Amino acid sequence: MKASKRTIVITERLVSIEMIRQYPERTRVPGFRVSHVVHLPFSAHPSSVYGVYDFDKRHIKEYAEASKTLQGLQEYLDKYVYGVKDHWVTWKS
Amino acid sequence: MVEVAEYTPFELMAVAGARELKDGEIVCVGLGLPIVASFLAKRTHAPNLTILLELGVVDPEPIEIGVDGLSDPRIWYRAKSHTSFADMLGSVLHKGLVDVGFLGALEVDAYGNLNTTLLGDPKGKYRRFTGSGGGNDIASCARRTIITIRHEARKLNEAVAFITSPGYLGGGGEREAAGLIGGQPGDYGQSGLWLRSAP
Repeated sequence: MKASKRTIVITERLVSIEMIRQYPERTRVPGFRVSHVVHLPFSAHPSSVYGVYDFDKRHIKEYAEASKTLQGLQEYLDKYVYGVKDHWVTWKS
Repeated sequence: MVEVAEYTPFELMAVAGARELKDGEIVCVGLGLPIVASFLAKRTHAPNLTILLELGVVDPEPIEIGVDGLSDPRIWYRAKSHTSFADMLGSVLHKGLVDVGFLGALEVDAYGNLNTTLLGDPKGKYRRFTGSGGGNDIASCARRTIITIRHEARKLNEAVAFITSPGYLGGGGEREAAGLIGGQPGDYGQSGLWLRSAP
């Protein structure tokens, strides 16, 4: 973030400026350094976001099994990445 | 009858300084009058100004100006981020993210070099002052620098006793040759230095 020309932030939650100003010592990246903000809850799925949600153990197991073969990986990608309309379909299934 | 508001020279300087700032700019502010001028700008014509304090405070909204210079939490009130001195100088200023440096000084010379370190006399006696905190980094790295200083003969000299923070050094491209970023003359004429004094 400190060295890059552009910084894109993917966030779980949008909060009010009042919330930010209340705890300035918790701000890691001040707004003037950010070029884009993407509001996308559960964007880390099937991994975790500290303090918000845990790993999706079942899903990671499924991925680990599927990725043992090239064909399995292709099927996994078709099912969860290329074959879905958006981020949310994956999350709900 | 037109009523003329009463004001002090310092208030006039703060207003003049505030008018130099444009909305949406990122300004790194030094101790003293520049703080007053920047917050005045933010509360009037430049609400989207991002005010940075060299010690690592981002965009505070103080309700009073404090008693102890920059190291007073009154000035940090409602900041968006508290980072550090090293972060502000190292990864914000030296990265060239700051549009405007806004500084006061003891003494300034014809090339905009600032002295906030010491004043001496020909006998070799000298007196030390408190500068610079982040003043050198601000003057070295901001795209343009505004200096606010009282218009007195002893403060505006041909040469300064000590160059704390660089302006155009000896002139004639010396600033560029020294590898300093910023210092864009902009609309301030070819000399790069532009003096505006009170009427």
